[in-house]
Amino acid sequence: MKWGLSLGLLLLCVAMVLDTALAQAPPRNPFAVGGMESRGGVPVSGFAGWILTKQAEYTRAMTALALRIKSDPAALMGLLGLAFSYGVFHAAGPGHGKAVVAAYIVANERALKRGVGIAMAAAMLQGLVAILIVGFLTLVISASARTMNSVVGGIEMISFAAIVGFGLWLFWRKARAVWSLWRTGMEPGCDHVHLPGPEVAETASLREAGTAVLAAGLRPCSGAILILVLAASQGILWAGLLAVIAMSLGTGLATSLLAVMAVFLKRVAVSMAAGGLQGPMALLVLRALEALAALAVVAFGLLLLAGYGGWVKGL
Amino acid sequence: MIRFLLAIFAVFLVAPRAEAHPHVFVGAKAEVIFDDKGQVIGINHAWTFDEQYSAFATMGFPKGSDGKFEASKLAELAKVNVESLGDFSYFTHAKAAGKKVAFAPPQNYRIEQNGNAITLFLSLPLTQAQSAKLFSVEVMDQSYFVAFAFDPAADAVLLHKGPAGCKVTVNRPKAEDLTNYTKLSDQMFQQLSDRTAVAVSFSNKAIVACP
Repeated sequence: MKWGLSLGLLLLCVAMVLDTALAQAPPRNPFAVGGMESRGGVPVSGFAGWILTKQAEYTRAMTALALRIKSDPAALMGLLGLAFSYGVFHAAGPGHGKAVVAAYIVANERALKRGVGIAMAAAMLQGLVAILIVGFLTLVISASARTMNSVVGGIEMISFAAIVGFGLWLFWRKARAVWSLWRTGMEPGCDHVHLPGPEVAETASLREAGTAVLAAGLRPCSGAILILVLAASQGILWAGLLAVIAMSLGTGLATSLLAVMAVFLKRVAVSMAAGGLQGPMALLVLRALEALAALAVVAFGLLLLAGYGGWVKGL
Repeated sequence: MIRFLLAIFAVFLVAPRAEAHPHVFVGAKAEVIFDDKGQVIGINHAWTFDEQYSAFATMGFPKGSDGKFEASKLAELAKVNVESLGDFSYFTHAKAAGKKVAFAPPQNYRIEQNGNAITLFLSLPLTQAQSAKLFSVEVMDQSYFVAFAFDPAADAVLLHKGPAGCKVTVNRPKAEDLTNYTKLSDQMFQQLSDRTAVAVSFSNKAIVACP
């Protein structure tokens, strides 16, 4: 019965992805910056709209300060402060990094410290990628905006593929755990669970954490690219570089907060789902939940790959 | 405590739907063009991009000693921009007497540079002349990747050869006062779930009324 249910859910997921993927991907904005972010999207209001207007304010203020730095170096401090806040808001707003970090946490055991580490590392990686791309394209080959867009687009595709890969790997691990629990747990007199030894699990989990960082942080954000390009055009790339580091710190902090909450919510969800259940059954429910989280990541990555960044990126 | 954490988590889940946040900011000016019979026949746009996007769009363009970009590069950029505007209805949504009207592809487009910013000029002819009794034109990117706002100056929207007695009203985007959100209350939860209830207006519209 349980297998029937999860199989049904799996099929539903696949159907959903195919259904949307077969429809036409939204066109690219004439004034695109970077990759996927420039596609699609929905009109917004309410709290989401408020986050948008905040980000817009920060962006405008950062631009003004960056332009002042050459004549008034003190503007740098203001720029860094704003960049940090922008990073915080950016993480609260769109950005698929959250989905990966949250899924990693839902799907893992002792994930609190690891989750925070991944959140910070992913945010730093995101900043670093933006710095490397803009540094190379502006200083070394003085590339055009179009080249920049295709480079970012390419990196984006790799990061989406990494998300799918990460999700599949997680699902494979969790589905096996569910399967072994299901078999052993249901047989009377067999109360031990066959799981890989601790050393195997440790290596696997480190590799998994690395994949999560790559999947969540490989894709540079347009905000970072824009401030770097502006700084470069003013001959103060270094200021842009510092701003992006401040931005990444802000994003990392906000995503870490999300990580902490995800750990907490998982506990609540598990204790609710397991209800009066005990022993193997409770564990089974837990593993099934983890497998579902992994499936969601796979679906998410596939949607991104299919060109629906505009609609699913924030999930 | 649990409620508080759930609230924060809800914010994270809800906020992301605000997918396309603006990265490009445009200060717009427009001219509504009339024919001799007093009918509207098109719109002239002047879109000035923010310095960030302007720097991005002109990346790698050769610059003269006067700081001016090569004219051919700007012309090429204008062409590329204008050619892809069609997919987005030229970011121009006009109605005559409440009915949507259609535009033909842009003409006479060019990009000018002023300091750190570039401005895209284009003329957008209507496919059919329209009555100006009640004519509205909204300049916006519905995906909100580009944030359009009419220039704060009084001359943001002008009438070209407009008949006497025509009036123009300009509504610029504004964010509602969000003091409601300073504390996490039950009310806020309701508002989060009923997102349409809270209005942050991104509408950027000029309404022309002629006698």
